[in-house]
Amino acid sequence: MRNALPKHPALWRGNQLARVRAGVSTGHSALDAELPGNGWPLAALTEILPQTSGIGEVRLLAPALARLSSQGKWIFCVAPPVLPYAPTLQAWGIELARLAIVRTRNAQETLWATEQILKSSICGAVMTWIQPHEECKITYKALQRLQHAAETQAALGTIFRNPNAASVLNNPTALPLRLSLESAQDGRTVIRILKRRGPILETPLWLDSFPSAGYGGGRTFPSPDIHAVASPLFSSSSIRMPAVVA
Amino acid sequence: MLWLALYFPRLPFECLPSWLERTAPCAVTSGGRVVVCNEPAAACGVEPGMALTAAAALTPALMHRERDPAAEAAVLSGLANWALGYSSLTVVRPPSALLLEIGGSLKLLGGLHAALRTLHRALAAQGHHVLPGCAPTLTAALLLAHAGHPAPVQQETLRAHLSPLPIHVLTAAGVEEKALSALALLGIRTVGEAWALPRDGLARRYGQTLLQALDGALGMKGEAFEPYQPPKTFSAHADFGGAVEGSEALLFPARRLINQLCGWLAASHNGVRCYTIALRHEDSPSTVLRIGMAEPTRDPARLLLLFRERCSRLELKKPACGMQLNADEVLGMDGANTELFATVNNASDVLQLLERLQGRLGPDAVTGISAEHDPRPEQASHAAPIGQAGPVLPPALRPLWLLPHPLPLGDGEPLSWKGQPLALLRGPERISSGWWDGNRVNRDYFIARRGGKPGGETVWIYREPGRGWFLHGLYS
Repeated sequence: MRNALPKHPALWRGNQLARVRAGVSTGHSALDAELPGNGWPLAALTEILPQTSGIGEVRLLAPALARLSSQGKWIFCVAPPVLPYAPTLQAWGIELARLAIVRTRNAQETLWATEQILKSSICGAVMTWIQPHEECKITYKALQRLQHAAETQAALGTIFRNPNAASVLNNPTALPLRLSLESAQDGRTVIRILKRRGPILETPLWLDSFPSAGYGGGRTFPSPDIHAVASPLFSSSSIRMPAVVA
Repeated sequence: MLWLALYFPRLPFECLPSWLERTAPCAVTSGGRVVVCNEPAAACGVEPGMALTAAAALTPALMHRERDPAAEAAVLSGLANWALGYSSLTVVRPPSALLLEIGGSLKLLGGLHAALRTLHRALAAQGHHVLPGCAPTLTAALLLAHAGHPAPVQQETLRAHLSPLPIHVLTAAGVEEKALSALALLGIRTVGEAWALPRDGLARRYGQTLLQALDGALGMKGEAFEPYQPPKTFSAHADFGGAVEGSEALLFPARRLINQLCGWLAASHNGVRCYTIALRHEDSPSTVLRIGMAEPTRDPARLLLLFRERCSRLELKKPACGMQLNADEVLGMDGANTELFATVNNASDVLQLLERLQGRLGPDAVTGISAEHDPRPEQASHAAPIGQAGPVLPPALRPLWLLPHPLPLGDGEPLSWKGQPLALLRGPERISSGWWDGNRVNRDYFIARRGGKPGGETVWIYREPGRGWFLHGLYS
């Protein structure tokens, strides 16, 4: 009897992940296995707390963004710290024709824009950045409102916040998923799932270090790699060399 | 032909939008007599036709204002513009009636009853009280509207329905009051009794217009009318009849003007891509709101939504007393095809969202980014209008955040950032290019990682001969 119980689809036990709609794969099987819905949740907002910017916190989303983009969905960046670099996004597989950058002047506008985008049927993913000095304005209520907006459609919503701000880690979050990111000494990324719909995960997850060995042809230090010296005025086809007559 | 007459008995009152919601007794007067009053005044016993002194005796608090025929004419021609959205043949009958030939639009509007309901609702939303009348002839429709007979009348029963109407409704058809009073003195009280009189004597004693009206109502003679010609350019204004402070209160007159604009656009098969709303103040220059869209439209709900977004972040320094709407950029627009199977209209959803965001955050707040074939990192990516993606570049290991201004790291002895050492992971990648436009770069790029805790950022740094090391990007 006891063994038969866990197999019953209508029964949820405390040590299982919640049954939610299927998410979009993160591209890392170890991370997928720990997330309800086997991937980044859709129709929900996820809070990502990178210890510092530059440890691959956005790259973590790249496989999911590429998949949504290839499905013809739009991707929005709300209040990014600087303009994202187009070649990088292309290399990730994001269609730039369906990407929009939204600049805002304050936290209020950021929240408003995020809400409008989450409510739109055409949005595949929205990434929102909160300035460190404005963390105090991101209240529990405001996040709750965004979560409600996210539930009306099926977008992948993420909000990047600063865990070092006092108002962030000390307060509970209204969002269903909260991750913290840190970089280890050897370059690997440590992911801690601080909140999810399911049991507490005490052991962190480890992602491979970046750049991985296979990427970029494995160029070795220090042979110089000379790149792009030609001027646009003389392309190689326009220069005719005299034929050498033997 | 099927004519729909729309008679606006309260038009003198309705051309003062700020008076519509007053709870104090108000009345519009002409020549010392009350023309129209509002409900609080009517509750005190004030009636149209009453002398102003008598009305003021009933309610000493009565606010009154002289009738403004020019404002009424402006509102009526605005309504004619709006009506062009429902019928291509519209006739204006001053002072307070409109006629629409809706026989040709019934299929579009979904039948006569649906059409009447739609029009009624649209007018109520604009704050207009309307008495409709519907008949196969223009004059009959007018008479029915003035007599308060809203049900449509067919040709066969026209005479039966018109006969019992009091003789005085013929003023609506342009017959002089004097002639009608003279008829009433003879004991002719209804239209039917007038029809029974000898025709030649009627014309000789009371003028040709009376006979024309009586014949025209039954369709026995052709009726002369002049179709309303929409103006070549659109510009409409609304006078608030008082000072308006809150931006919410601006929505009501804006809705009226936008509805007029959309009717005008429908008549010419056009859409508007940019319009301005100027708010007039008593003694300072107008506040001008310019509202642009991604594509031309004539959907009043969408235009109003954009105006509302703009209004919500507008701080009026002074109360506004009037509003002027101009259509700045009018473009041809294809009619919408209704589809057999409704498909998700993706493109217009995107545009609506972008318009909404731009409406509140400013036109430059929403952009796309575009890649460029340029070896120099800072030239390979730039903000661009949405949808302009540029060429697809060969994949390279580039950072997500490229700093607009590279951060100097000194001479690299030792190589560190934020007090922690930087360890080189990849490189160098030499980028030497751009001599042709004066922005030459000659750099060796490396991927590096900062040590320490917290730390571990992967960064893109470069060395420039003679200038030292710089941090150029973050691999977020």
